Amino acid sequence: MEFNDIVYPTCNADADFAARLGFKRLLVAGKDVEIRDIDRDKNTNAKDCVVIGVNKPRLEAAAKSGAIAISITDQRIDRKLMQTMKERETKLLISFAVLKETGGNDRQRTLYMMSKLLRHAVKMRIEVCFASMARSRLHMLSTMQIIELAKLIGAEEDAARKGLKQIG
Amino acid sequence: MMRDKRRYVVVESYNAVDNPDLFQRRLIAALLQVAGEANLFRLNPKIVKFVDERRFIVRTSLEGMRQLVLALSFITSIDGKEAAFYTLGSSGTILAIEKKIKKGQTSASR
Repeated sequence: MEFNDIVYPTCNADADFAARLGFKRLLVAGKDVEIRDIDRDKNTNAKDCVVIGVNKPRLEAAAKSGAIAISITDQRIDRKLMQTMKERETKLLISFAVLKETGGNDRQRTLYMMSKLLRHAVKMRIEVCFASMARSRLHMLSTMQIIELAKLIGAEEDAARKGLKQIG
Repeated sequence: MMRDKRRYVVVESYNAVDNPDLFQRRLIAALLQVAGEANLFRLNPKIVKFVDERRFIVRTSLEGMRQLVLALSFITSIDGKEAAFYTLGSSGTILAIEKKIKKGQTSASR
């Protein structure tokens, strides 16, 4: 049990529930780990933060300032951003809560985009980590589910397990 | 004749289960929606036991287990009501999975 997950405080998940899901620790956003939404917060200095957003130039600036991991919300590949992430050893965070927030065609599209992003990151040798990033208990996932979702988008079993250990 | 290899998965529900028979029918219907008709026969899911009001054990075929875990991850509502399922662990025999539940070792152990 060495897996960690990042969730928002609105999940109200206790240690017992986290242990049942297979996590050693649930890192609460804003408390255990700082999450910066780069689309809302214009400050691109994101040292030791996990950065989420769509705006690629801002994400790139955040990577240059020393962000731990970057989650690209629209799952679109930006070669320049990926190159910076590789140079700065910034991890790519793939969050699965979005799959529970959408359904039908939107979910299929997201899965397709995620698989392309993951393939590109692996090809560029960027470290990839996986988390639920759930905003509600309804969107949380167990370690078993995250590993299967990672495998579904093309990760190897070992890489999926390693990706769950990366955070924290 | 070769017996089909089975897998037992412990699942926790977000909502408490009040009527097990009705719940099983609704769960199969939700699985049919996310897994599709072409895949559901491979999963062959059946709730074999309720551990408590939220946790239950689902029996599936060995090759269908992965599909079952994914299908359960994709269920967001049952009968118009918000729902979520967390797969806590799996084992090849019901005895082993019951032992794990008693010891509290159902967390992602395979």
